[in-house]
Amino acid sequence: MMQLSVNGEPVRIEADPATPLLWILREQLGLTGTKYGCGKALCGACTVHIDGNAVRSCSFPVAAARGRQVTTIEGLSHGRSHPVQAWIREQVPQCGYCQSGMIMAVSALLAANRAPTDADIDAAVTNICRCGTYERIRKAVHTAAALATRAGS
Amino acid sequence: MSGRRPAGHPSARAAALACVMALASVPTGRAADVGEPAHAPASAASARESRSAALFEQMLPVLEHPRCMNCHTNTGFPRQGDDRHRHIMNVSRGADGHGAVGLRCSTCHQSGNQAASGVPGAPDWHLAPLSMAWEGLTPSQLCRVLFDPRKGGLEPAGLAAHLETSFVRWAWSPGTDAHGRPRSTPPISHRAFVALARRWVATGAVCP
Amino acid sequence: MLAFMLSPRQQVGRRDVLKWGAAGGGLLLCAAWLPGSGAAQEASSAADSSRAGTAARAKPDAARLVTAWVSIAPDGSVTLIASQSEMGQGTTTTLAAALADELYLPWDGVRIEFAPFDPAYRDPVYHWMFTGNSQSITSFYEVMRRMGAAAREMLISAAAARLGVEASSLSVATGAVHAADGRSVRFGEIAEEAARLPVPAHPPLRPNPAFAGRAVPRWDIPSKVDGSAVFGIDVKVPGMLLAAVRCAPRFGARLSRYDAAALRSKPGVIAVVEVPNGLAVVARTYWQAHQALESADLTWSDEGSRLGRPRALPAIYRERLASGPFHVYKNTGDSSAALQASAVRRTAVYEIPFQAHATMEPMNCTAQIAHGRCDIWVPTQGVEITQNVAMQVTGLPGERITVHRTLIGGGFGRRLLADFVKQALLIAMAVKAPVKLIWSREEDMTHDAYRPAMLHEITGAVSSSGVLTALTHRVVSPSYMLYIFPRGAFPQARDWTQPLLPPPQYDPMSVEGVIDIPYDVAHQRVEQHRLELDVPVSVWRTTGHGTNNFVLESFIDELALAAQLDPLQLRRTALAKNARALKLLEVLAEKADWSRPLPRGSGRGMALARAFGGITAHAAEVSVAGGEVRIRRIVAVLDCGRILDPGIATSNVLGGIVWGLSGMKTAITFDSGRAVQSNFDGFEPLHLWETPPCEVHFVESGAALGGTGELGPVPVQAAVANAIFNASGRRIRTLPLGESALRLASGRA
Repeated sequence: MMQLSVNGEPVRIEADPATPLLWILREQLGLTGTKYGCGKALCGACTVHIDGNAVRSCSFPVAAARGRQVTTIEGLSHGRSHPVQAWIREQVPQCGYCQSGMIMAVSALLAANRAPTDADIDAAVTNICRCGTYERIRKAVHTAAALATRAGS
Repeated sequence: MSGRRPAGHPSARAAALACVMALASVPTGRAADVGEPAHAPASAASARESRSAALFEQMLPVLEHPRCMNCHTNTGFPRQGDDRHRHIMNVSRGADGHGAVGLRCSTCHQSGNQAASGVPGAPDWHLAPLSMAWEGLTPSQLCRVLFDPRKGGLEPAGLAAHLETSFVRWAWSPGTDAHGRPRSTPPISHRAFVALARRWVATGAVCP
Repeated sequence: MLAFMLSPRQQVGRRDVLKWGAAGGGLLLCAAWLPGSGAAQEASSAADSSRAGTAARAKPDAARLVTAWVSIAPDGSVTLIASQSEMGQGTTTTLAAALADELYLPWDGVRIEFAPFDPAYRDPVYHWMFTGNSQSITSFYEVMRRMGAAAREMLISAAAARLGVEASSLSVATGAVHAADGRSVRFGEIAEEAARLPVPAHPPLRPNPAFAGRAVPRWDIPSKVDGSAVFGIDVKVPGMLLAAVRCAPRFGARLSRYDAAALRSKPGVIAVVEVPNGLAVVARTYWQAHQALESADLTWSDEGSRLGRPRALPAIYRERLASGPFHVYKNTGDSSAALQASAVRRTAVYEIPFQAHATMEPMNCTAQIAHGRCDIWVPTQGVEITQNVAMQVTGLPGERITVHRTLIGGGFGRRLLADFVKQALLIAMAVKAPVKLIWSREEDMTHDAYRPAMLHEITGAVSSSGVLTALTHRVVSPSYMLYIFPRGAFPQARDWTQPLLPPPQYDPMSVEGVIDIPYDVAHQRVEQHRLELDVPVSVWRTTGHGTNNFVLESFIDELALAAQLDPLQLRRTALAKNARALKLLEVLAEKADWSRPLPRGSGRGMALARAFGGITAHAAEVSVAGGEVRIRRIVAVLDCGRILDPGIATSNVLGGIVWGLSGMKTAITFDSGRAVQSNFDGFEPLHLWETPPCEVHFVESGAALGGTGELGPVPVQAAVANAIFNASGRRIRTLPLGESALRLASGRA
């Protein structure tokens, strides 16, 4: 039995401890916002936050999440985070499948760097988007940073 | 590689290092050098130094193996694979060797190898700092970097302990890649490597 | 644009679409089906479909179908029953806005529901219910306006009867019909009466649509940023089991041995089910199914190895290029004579690789067969194929089968096929429980229906006065149509997941982009050898246009060089009779600062394309140093007649540019009958840091509407290749770039 916190709620998980956190979130907890894209930490669609840090959950065994705080895209959207607002304002997604992971990666970037440059964005945002929404993602990161600055947060 | 914590009293450490540096700075000849002018006391010392340096040379294939060298780079990024290609996905060193802000090493690398995803892991996975870059160094330079206090170098007595840390041990159990293929390990066993290192230190840790 | 002819009895005009909409509104949504088994296209007239189906399961509070497309609930909420799938190309937003406009509703006043299969929703050009070929707008925009206008007129008529006034005295606003004396009735109050009225065939369209030409926020975006969007892989059905599948690693190989007992003993495993050429494991969770399969020792037969040695496929292509036979698609003038007579003539052979779709959401399908019904939840572009495959696999009649469409995590043509649907159905039938089948990324990439590789020999001639006089094309390529040609044209086909080869005259996709070029060239010849390969191939975003434009537009620059002409000038001359394309070219030259000098090591290139009902031209600026190509800037100009939604169109073009550039980096290769690449490390699409700054401009010529879904990427590869040449003197005739020891690097550095 493993206990962790997901989006602020305590949960108890019974599963093979080696199960990737991704599948626990999606199936045991029904939080399907976090996506499966590659299973090899190559694409970033599975990105969540663990204790505030971006982690690719397809490569993270649930046992390692014991006692830790997991935040998924569903948890992030409470209170309409700045990346989420910016993503809507800039109409970023096309198919949208990669965007949960993208937003989680970007929010981790913005938490550590309030005004990322294009070079910072290049280094931090390696998630794959097959629809190619990168131009708008870049713009939305700048927009989110500006929104956060205006909000004084 | 992290985990090098100079231990012991500063002055004792300085003395030990001074001793090693003094030994290291003595020009050594190879055992096979013939035709050198015969100086009876020097040739006995140089024979001992040659044997010590030769031990280091036996350690080199481990230090230069991709499992070690891929993180002891002199670049702004890690390397991966036996062909030592640049780590894919634009992964970069970051300011502190733990990855760029927003793409820390810990985003993908956890404290143990993940068989399912093929991502290798060890506790606190990150790059050796540039001061500990081994890439592009000659054996002689690499040897000196190991113990250079300006580069966070170890004291010789601490070397063996360091070789038991998780990063070093990882090189011998590096797991499988994303396609299930086992990663290659250094050409001698960890045990043999540690034994070599002890002997090398015991013989004065002489650099070639 | 692809056009093929079906037999006369299968041709349906747009008017029939309206009538189908009329024939018992409620009937069509819930249960309508066509008589006859097998080919769903047999019933093609309105009369047939009016007889079709069972009675609607009308509930007292149920929404009423005013037409097949427009449903209005008692609370007044209006729903577009959308024929088209949504995969991020935004067409459902634009179609819903068109509907909202006709009903004088705000842009977010229309909800979307995806229609199940019904002939009413067939594409009016191809008579086949599908989403693709960049034609959702061109096929359905006018239909939406007519359906919206028809619904409006029917609501007005119902309100007129209710209020006892003349219809002409009524107006529509804010979801209600208003009388001059101040009385009004809300849509919801009169939906039922409206639904019983005949559908007017020529309702007056709103003269001043509010949203046409404006950027409308997409309805699907909020759920795509908060994690609530439901893709196929996210579907939850009570009692659902999970399945993982592995099919033959080599094309043609069969499963010859496996240890079922060992598999069944793995944690969580419920069942092991054989599927065509493979094995599925069913478990309580996907991870358990996946892990069980990973640990399984499966033995495959030896077939399929003859795609053998790494060099086998290129050798086959070259041999066919030399020997044919060829089907001639076009032969105007006398190209041989023209080539002989020309001062400047060149020939070149271009080589384009196989590509994977690599949609971010891997293939998946959820199926349940119970109580004589079949329900399928699937992210699909191919509703009609899916419906028919379900009939074939389950043996159930169409009216007992419902295809529920989810949002799609990338389509690009792959989701027109139903191979994964067939697997899910077989598994669900075997375990007698709802099953969600998910393909792993590896399964997805190695069991794709790839964009076919092409070998293309092109020759051309330029006269001494700078006129492009001749172009010939000899193309070796498999057919794109094997899995997606409407199966109704093959009445004998019993399994719609199997490849079918249409007659060559109906199979021009491999030569699109060179059979109908915008240039005036007197002597042209286009011929193709349709290669038959064991490698499954199919349509891929840009289809033949993407490959052929790379060849044509690169080669035009080669000819320009040979004739010592500016590539822009050679094109201008060749477009002298095409005012629309000439205008586009001039806009491009201006926006791209074509004549501004660039520093050494940098170069500019252009390319023009006519495709998918529109025309587009790109200019690229690159710098080349060592093996690195940095794309500094892309300028894209598009003329699709008019742009209904500039925000969505821009998004499609920007994303399309990335798609096109990705295709310069990636390739699928084969060894011993299996795809070498199986995940994003081997097949690495363009990344954010490689994406250049892009500028998109639209020219609204007022010509007929074209599509934007695939037009964007078409000329970008040639524009970049031409820029690489101008920067470095290196001519790229083979993709991917790695074959020329080149790689893309950040254009911002």
